[in-house]
Amino acid sequence: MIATTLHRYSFPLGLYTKVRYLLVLSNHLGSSSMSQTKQPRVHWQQWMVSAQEGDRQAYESLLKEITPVLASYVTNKVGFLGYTEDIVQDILLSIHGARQTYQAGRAFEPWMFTIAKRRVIDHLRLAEKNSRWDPWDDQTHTPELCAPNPHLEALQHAMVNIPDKYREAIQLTKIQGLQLDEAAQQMGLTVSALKSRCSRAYQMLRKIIEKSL
Amino acid sequence: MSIDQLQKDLVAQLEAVKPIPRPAIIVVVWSLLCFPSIIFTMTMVDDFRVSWTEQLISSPRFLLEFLFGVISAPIAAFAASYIGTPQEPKKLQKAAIIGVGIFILFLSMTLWSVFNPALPPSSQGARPHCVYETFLYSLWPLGLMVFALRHHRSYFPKSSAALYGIAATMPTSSMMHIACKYEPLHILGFHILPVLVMSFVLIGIHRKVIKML
Repeated sequence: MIATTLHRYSFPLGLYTKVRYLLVLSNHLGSSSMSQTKQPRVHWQQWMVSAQEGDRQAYESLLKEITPVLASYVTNKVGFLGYTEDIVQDILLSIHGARQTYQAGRAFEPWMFTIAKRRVIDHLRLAEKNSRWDPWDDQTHTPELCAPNPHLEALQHAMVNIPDKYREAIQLTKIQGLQLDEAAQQMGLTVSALKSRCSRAYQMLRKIIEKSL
Repeated sequence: MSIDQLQKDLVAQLEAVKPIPRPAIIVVVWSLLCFPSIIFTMTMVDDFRVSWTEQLISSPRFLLEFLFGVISAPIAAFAASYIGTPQEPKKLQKAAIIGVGIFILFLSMTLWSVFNPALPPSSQGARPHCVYETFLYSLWPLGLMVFALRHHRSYFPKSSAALYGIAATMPTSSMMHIACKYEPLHILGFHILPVLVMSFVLIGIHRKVIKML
C-alpha cells in the first residue's frame, strides 16, 4: 500500500510529498498516547488518504467518526432550521464528491469544516428562498419563545443586530402575531411595503447568522 | 434515508481517486503550455515592437511594468488552483487577494503611466487588431485552465471566475506591452480592458459553467 501510494506521487515534487506522507504515517503509527494528546485526529488524515486509494474499511471508520462531529457542528450553528440530519447527509455527500481535493499531509479538519460550512450556508439560503426558515411559525403566541433555547440563541443575537424598523416588522407580524394589515397600519405602511420590509429583515438575519458560522 | 444507510451506500460506492495535483505543478505546466504558444502565435501574426529589448534594458520602470504583467497570470492561476481546494477560509481569502492584487498592481502602474509614462508614448509597433488578439488568444489558456482544474471544488466561485479571467487574458495582455505600441491610454483600453471584460463575463456565467462541469 505504501509503495503504491508513494508511486502515485511521481511528479517533480514527489520527494517532498513522500516525506510529508511518511511524517503523517509515522505520527499515526508512533506512540499512540503522544498522537492522541498532541494530534488526536491525525488518524483522520491517514484514513482519508486510504479512502482516496479505495480502502473501504478506512472510509467507513472515517465516516463513523466524523458524522457526530458534523452533527454537533450543524446543531450548534443552524439547529433552529429543524433538519440537522438532512444537512449532515448533504455534507457527507459533498465530502464524498470532493475527496480528490484532499491533499495528503494537510490537516483534515479544516478541509472537512470548509465543506461543511459552505453546505450549511447553502441550506440557509435555500431555506430562506423556500420560506422554510420561519422559526416562529410554530411558536407564535407561546411563552416558550422566551424560554432558554440554544437553537434560538443565534436568531436572538441576529435580531439585536438589525435596524429597529426591520426588527419591529418581525416583532409585530411574527412575535405578537398581528395580521399583516394590522401590523401595516400600526407601522404606517402599506401591506406590500410591510411584506417587503419583512423579506429584507429575513435577508439581514440570514447574513448575520452566515457570518457567525 | 438514515445517516447509517447513507454511510453504507457511500462506502459501497467508494472508488479510488487520484488526488488533484498541487497548485504549483498545475501552474508550471499551464505556464509552459500557454506562454510559448501565445508568443509564437503573436509573432506569426505580426512582429513585436522593434525596440522592445532596448526599452526593457534602458527603462527600469517599463521593465517592472512588464514583469508585473507577466507574473500576474501565473499568480492568478495559482490562486485559482489554490482556492479550488477546501481549506481554512483565511488562507483561501489570502490566496484570492494576492491573485487579484498583483493584477491590480499592474493596472495601477499602467494608470500612473497615463500621467507619468515609463517611456515616451509612440505609435511604433502598433498592431491593428491587438484587442481582438487579446480576447482570442485568451481562449486557449482559459480552456486549459478549466480542464486542469476540472476536479477542483471552489467554494468561492465568483473569486475563482475572476481569477480565471485574469489568468487567461494576462499572458497576451502582458506580451502586448512589448509587442504593440507603448501608449498608456491605448494599453488601458485595448490590452487591459479585455482582462476586466473577460473576468466580469466569467463571473456572470460561472454558475452555468459549474453546472456543465
